[in-house]
Amino acid sequence: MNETDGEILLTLPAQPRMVRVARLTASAVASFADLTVDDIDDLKIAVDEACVVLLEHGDGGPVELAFRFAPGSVQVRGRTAGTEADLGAEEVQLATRILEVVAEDFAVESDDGQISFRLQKSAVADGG
Amino acid sequence: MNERADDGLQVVAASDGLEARGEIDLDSADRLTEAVVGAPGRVVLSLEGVTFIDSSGLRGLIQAQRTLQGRGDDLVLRRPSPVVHRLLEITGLLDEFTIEA
Repeated sequence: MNETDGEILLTLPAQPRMVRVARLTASAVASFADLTVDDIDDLKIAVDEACVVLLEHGDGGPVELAFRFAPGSVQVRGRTAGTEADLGAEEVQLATRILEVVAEDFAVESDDGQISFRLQKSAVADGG
Repeated sequence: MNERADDGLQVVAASDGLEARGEIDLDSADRLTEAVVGAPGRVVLSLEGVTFIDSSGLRGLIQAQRTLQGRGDDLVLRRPSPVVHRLLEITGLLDEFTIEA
């Protein structure tokens, strides 16, 4: 690891207001990765949406987030305890529709008593 | 009306409706919905000053619209900010609301 890449770990209480902390962190990490303003906005939306899914469908335990950044790219993983998550619920579908547009490689799953997600945001090389 | 809380959202009375400023998210969406459904008659909600919205906020707007329609009124979204417009577009909800430029 050098000054241009790294990983930031964040553990948040399961409270709605904590999505703002997740967004602020996403914004800061994205700036480390030299993403554009538009990409930073997209990452903020993506991390927010993924955290909303964990907060609304988790069991109320802490939400753990890992932000891994490198030049031009940020990967985010998150998880919380959740034993009966209904990931087919209408609100999850709305969030998923947004995530599929603003993030890459998005996936959310519920397994082994945990709900987890992963997503990525990369700088668009051709500027388009 | 001049509601301000520590959730990053401000909802104020405008000349012909309500004006939302700041962030509409999981923390603040319910308060916005309550403000909208608590207003009398047809509600014009200005969204020009909204700097962030997510699916929680969109669900709040959908819920508010359904409540207003249930009592015979309508919800009008005035001048949605770029982020609001984009999220409405992504989710295919643009046509579900009356949008006023």
